[in-house]
Amino acid sequence: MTRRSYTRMGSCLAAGCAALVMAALHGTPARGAGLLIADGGLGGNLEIVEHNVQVTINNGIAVTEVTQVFRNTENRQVEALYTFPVPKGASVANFSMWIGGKEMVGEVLEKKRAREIYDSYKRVRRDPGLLEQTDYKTFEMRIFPIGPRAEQKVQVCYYQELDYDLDWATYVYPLATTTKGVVSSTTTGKFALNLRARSAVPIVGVTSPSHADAVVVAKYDDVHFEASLETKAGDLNRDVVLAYQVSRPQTGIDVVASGRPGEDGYLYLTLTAGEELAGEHAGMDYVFIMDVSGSMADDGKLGLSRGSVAAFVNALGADDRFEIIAFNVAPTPLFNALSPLNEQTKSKATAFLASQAARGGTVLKPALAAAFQYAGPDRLLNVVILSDGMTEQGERAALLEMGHAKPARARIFCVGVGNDVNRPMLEQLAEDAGGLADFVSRGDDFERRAQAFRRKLLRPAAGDLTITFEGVDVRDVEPARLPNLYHGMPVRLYGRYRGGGAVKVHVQAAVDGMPIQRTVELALPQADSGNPEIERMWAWHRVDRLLKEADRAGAREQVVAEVIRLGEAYSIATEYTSFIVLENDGEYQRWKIERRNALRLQQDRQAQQAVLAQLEALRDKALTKASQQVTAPELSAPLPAAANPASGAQQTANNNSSPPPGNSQPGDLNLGQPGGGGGSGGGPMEPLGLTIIGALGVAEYLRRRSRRCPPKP
Amino acid sequence: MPAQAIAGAAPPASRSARSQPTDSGRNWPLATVLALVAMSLLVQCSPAAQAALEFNRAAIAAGQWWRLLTGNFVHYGWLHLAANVGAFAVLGWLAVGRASRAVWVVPLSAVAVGLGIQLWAGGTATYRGVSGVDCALLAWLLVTTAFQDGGWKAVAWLGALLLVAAKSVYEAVTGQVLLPTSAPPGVEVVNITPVVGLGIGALAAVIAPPARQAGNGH
Repeated sequence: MTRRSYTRMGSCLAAGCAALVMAALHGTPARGAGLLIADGGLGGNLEIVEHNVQVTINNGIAVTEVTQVFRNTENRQVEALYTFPVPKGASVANFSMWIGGKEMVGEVLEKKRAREIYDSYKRVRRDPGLLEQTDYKTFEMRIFPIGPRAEQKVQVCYYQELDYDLDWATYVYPLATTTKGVVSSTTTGKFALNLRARSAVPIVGVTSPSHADAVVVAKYDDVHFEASLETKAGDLNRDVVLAYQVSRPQTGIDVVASGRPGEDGYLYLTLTAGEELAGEHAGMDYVFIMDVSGSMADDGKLGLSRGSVAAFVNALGADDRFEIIAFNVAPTPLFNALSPLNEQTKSKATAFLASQAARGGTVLKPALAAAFQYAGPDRLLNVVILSDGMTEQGERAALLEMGHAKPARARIFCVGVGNDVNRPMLEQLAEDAGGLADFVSRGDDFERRAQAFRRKLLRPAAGDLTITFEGVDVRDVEPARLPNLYHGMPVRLYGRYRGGGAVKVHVQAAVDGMPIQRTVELALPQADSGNPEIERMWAWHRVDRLLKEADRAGAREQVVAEVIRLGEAYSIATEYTSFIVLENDGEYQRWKIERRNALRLQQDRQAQQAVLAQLEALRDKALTKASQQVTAPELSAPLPAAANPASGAQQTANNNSSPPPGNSQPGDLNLGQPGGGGGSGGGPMEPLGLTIIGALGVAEYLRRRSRRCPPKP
Repeated sequence: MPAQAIAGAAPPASRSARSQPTDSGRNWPLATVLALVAMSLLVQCSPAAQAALEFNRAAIAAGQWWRLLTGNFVHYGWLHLAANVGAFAVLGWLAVGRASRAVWVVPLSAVAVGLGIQLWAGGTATYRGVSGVDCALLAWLLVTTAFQDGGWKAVAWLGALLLVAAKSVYEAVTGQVLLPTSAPPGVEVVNITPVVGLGIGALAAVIAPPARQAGNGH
């Protein structure tokens, strides 16, 4: 038996954190956000006594700050190993430990060096902390030592872009995932999640599909809201999912910026499709490939898959045809043909889905090949793969090749099921095949996600998208190649810029095959302290792209140095950089470690405080009008005036003639095709022109009249 | 310039004669104006035709030069069309009633507007609207009317032209739109087109002015 497995057996596996009353009532086995074990061969018994989550969402970028207090329940010191998953696309941007009652902020170092420093402290039993990325989705945090009966407070912060579906932005706090096998979780203690959001695009609805009865929402005005969930006992076994709907009636761009005086700035641009890009659609063909391999038995993934496929099938149109293929090591088709949607085929599909059990290995290639057989010359074939992406290692390269070699009128869409998914593989497969990757969580609303996904499947709102800038030197744009613009899902672009001032943003796209070009003029600030998170997101996207490109080329060696440079410069944990926390500032000096993250974190927190202050001001104003709070279900639809304590707050916001830092700049583009309005035009028929035309008309009438009736001599 | 080229240059001999165009008895200039109005209406019914005819910088760069001209006769919806083409019909009728050669102002200014956008409005990717041509006809009418009326009336007509021109130049320079226009919401007004139109119309009237009307009291 290995030392680690011995330790696990001897440890109390107290994963997760706090509790939701509802889950406790159901009495279901629970799992936590991560797995906490006393490691290092010393055994021990650890628990998490407090779990506080603060989320700040700024224009679709969420900053999640998780503060946890561990307690060693034994009379000896232990090393804590806490493994936790982060959501897809998340970037860990801080790790702090409280040592002697004082917060010590971690710094990012090259992974090997950080590990060496950590081990050197561990040998002399002093207080280091280490946070490492172990794979694309899992991080490990090591803390040593935790003294007998002692408590240890830590804080982890990660950034992520929210998923948008049908204009719904979804935030998921993962609780239903374990990273190291199945564990039981019976933790008690306080769990609190508080989410504050602001958006450049008006927010028209807020809901919590996972905890509608427990989440309290207060919406202060059209662009700000706050949601909270708090409990003191119970088990956690579901992700906390919060979603808000934004509405942009016309296609347009929104830009926020960040930067300090005298330095190059950062910009974050979102391009959102408006209603003018909606259109009529002909029928299409769908093949749903459902993974029923053994790995789908974990975390209820198979149930998620069944529910998702059923919801997708129900969302099909009258002219659509579909087929379902279940696969593990071999494909099992339902109809052996594409069938129209009717009561008979629907009931067959339901029975087929119910009969599937998770077993066997995962070999996707034959199923994908079978799906491609349905491609025809006259209809678009959408291949929708529902899987956790845990295919055989040797198959992945072949799958990506197949994605490249897909039939001409076929697209591949990947739906990652659950939180424990091979996100990079699914994203790359979909991206290479002209499709999209989406991810569903246990707490999600299947019907809504299916409808949103189908809408994206219908067709991209605009393709061949390019965005260029004129007037300001904008460079290092990420991503270099923009994806298609889909309904309800903005295209995001990050970049750096020099100087500032008026900038013309040129957007070129193909709408229904027709080239469209639009321009909007905006102003980039010389400095803006309100959106520091976009700096790290820019760096994270750059790292992500470098690694993806290197993986495609089959060699990472050439990009590792740049990844480490970016990780250290922007304080983000990557596969090649880790966070280390040392006992005091003197220790950082001793190791010649620059306090970049400490400085950056200070700026981040100031910006978050500004958002908080803004929200509090709005709340105070609103409460003077009405101290009414509304629970999430009532807010899922556009807010009724009576339920929205925002009227006073809105007035306050509007009266503020000097917008605070962090505000966005909107610009309508209107990519509508002819008949839908938009573009540029002439409009001289204003009152002055009409008056002169009228005068000319009168003069002409008088002239002709005088000719008909010449004045008598 | 022959006197016959001016509408109403000679008193009509009869009621039926009054209803006829005055230059050589031909009505092709008015027919041309009406044909362009009809074409605008037809184009508005066909999204495909609109896509094929609007000013589109990328398509023009790809060799579709006709868009420089035809973009003037495509509009963003019926309200935009009604305002612009309505004005075009009135101005065209007045202009060709004054002199049949006025009809040449229409293609001349349409191409000039297209070229003006191409050259001086680099940020404009697509453009629709006959407003530039309207401005050209307006300027042509104001200048010719001033020539024909003379005296204080000429000052008034030229003053009106200068007022419109000053406003248009101001808008083109500052990017502001001073008065509500016929452009529908969401459509960016291209301020260079009135300037180009006014310039072309005035220039045409100055270079080839209609003859001063005989017997109009001046």
